[in-house]
Amino acid sequence: MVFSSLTFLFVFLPLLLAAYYVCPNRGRNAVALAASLLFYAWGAPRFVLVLVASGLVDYALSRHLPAGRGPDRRRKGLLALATALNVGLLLYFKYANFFVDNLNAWLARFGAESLVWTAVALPIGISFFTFQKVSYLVDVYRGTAQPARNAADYLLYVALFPQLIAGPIVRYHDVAQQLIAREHSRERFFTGILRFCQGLGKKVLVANTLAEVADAAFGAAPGALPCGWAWLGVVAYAFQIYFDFSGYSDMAIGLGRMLGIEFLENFNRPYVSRTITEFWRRWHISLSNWMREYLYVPLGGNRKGVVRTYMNLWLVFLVSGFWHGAAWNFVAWGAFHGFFLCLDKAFKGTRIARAPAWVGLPVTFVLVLFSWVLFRAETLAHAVAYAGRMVDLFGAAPETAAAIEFGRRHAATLVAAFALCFGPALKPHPFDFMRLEPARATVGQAAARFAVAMILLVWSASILATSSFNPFIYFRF
Amino acid sequence: MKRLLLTAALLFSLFLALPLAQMATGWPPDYPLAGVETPAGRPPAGVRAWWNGTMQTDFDAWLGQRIGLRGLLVRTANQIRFTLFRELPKRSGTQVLLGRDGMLFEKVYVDAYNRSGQRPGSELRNISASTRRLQDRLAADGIAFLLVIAPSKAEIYPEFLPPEADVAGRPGRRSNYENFIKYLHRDGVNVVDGHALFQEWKREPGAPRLFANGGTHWNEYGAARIVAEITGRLRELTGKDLPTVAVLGAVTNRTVVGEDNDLGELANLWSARPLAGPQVHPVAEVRPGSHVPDLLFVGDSFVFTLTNFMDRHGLYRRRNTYYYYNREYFWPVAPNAPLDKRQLDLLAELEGRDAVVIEVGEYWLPRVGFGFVRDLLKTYARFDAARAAAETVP
Repeated sequence: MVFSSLTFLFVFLPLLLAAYYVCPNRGRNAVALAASLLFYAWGAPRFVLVLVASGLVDYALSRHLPAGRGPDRRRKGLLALATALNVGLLLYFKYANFFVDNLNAWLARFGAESLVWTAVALPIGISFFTFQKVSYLVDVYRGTAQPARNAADYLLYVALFPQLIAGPIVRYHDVAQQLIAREHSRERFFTGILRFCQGLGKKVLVANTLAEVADAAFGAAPGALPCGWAWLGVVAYAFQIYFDFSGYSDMAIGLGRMLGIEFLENFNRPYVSRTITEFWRRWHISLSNWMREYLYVPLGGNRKGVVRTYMNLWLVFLVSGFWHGAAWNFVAWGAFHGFFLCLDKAFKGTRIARAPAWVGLPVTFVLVLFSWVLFRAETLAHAVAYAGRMVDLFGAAPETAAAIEFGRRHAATLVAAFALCFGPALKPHPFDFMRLEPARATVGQAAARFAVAMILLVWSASILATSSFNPFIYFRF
Repeated sequence: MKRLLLTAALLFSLFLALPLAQMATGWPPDYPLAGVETPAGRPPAGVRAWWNGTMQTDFDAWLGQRIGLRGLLVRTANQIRFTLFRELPKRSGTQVLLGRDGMLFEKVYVDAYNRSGQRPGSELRNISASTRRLQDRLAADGIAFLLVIAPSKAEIYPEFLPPEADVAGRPGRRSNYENFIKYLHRDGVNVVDGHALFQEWKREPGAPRLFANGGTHWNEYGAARIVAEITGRLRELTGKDLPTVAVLGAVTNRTVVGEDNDLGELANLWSARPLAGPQVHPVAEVRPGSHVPDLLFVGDSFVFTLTNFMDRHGLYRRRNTYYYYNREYFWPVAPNAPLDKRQLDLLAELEGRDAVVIEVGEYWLPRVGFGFVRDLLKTYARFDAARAAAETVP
């Protein structure tokens, strides 16, 4: 189930909120857990078993991880085992097809027979919940958090529906206390509404509209794509992915608040970054935090010399790229970002690094655009061909140009997206406008924000309702 | 502030709960949607359906069609899109394009105007020849035959097509109509050629519009002029004193008749009226005859504008219409019913008829009669063979 669906919006959410708030405090975790499992099972019933079974194993092993529960070597061994089980599940479900396909390609190259293999279906959200589970195991091992009180609490941490499918990646120590006791207040619920509606609007009104342009551009044969359309397509995609992903995070944060849980922010206007390093401090923050805490630092971080620091940085981004998808273009995407991060580090403190915003910002944005080509293209070859069209500024226009629809709605949405992403000087910025703290606001300010939220909600819901309505003028037969 | 926060939470929850409540109680009343869609089946129940995910998928589809206040939500989305961006829904099964001066076009007709869906000449030649065979066979039984070609709006008013119709890129090859009409004339099929007539009438000085802005079919005025042609030709073909129609002029106002804003309705805005445009109605005179005919029509959706006018003016004593040769409409009795072709006795249906009129839109020319011509020729062949066999038995 996805948040931007009628089933979620008009069936799941109202029933969940009713059940959750009718239930006394002590039963609310049970309601949230049952709802989360139902939410997950709606799309993938069989994989709920994988989620629950692996969660129970984690929980059982985690009981022996805290310091003082046995010799350090045993604890370390159990942590390695538990982590390997989780990473193994991820490798199997997400990457087995990729490895077999590549192996078969090599075998074919040498004239050998291919391996017979039944493609493995991917459990939705496995990349996100695997990282969360590893976070729990490591936190408990390190002593930054106590083991969950019971298996149900732990499963709730892993499966809590707002963040289950697309993050933010919640580190266990950030929510451990909230799983035990949390505050349910009108203020929190109210800010949750504002945040949820903002996210829904970002997803349905902006991301989905720009996806039409991006899909058309990336769906066209690169040879039929004029240079301008190639740029338009990738710019549309850059805004699509930002509004889609950050919208989803907003919805998750909003839903969390409605249930009394605070998740950390996941995006902070990434396109105003002046360097790739800054971009990664603003883009998918929860992933960057996770990578730093559970991969970069354990690898040695910057403590083991310059060469290891660069290697660690690059490795982290290669893993990050591969985590995003099982294909070579994602690996290349990670390598691309890792390379520019290393460059940032190498030039830190020099005049280049101190370049003014009007230089740093567009250069970074263009680099990010090229990286999005790697991310969005179907294959590495497609990405190279597409990027080739982008840099072919003075080349001849294709004889038969691809037909890409770009109407007033697309233009207006693109302009709005551009203004929202590059207008940080706007006071108040529209995103901050919706991040109201009722305790510091007047009734008028709160009412105005609620009115905007309801407009976004009604508008988005009405668009969702049209998705199932494709009428014919008459029954012809 | 506390009161505001509580009110906000209640309003938000109310909005989320309202569609489900409306589904259960029917209140508040919804605003129905125009157009037809294939109904999604009730989701299957049971563990197996749940386990393999079909229940969830089917439930989503089922809910999408039945969610409370769907009409209001869809119309709201469409209205916002139209008001802000002058854009009509793109996902319709029947796609509608917004042309110049607010003229609406069905996309399939625009594609046909751009020469997609071309059929080979040999196929059209065979269709024309079978039509002629049917005409002759019916004549042998004293039944007149007339083929009415309904013009496409895109062909008659290409100057109103929207830029995205890409008329400039239109191939120069001949259309199905241009090829077909040549064969029909060569074979001597009785035709009321709406395409040629509309082109001619459009050029008349001060000519009123023959299609409404919001309609996909000929408007009431255009249809009345075609009826005048039909009645004149039938009088001539039957040799009987049948009633005829003369169109004396036109009145333009805002009153929408019948389906003259069907594309506007399909846009599903809060109100379809702004899309209807000016409506042209005929000033017509019926000249009575001593013989009121009994007619059988076969046709597509253009046929209704003709028969509505003819019904109102009592131009026949009985009329049946085979809509796409799949559903039957009766007059003077109102109801309609699916046509069970296995049970259908075509010869009995023709009993007492003065004429068979096949109406076909340009788009459907390769399917003239939608199977009726083929079935009737087969029926005649069987009947004639049986009669011949009976005559040879001593």
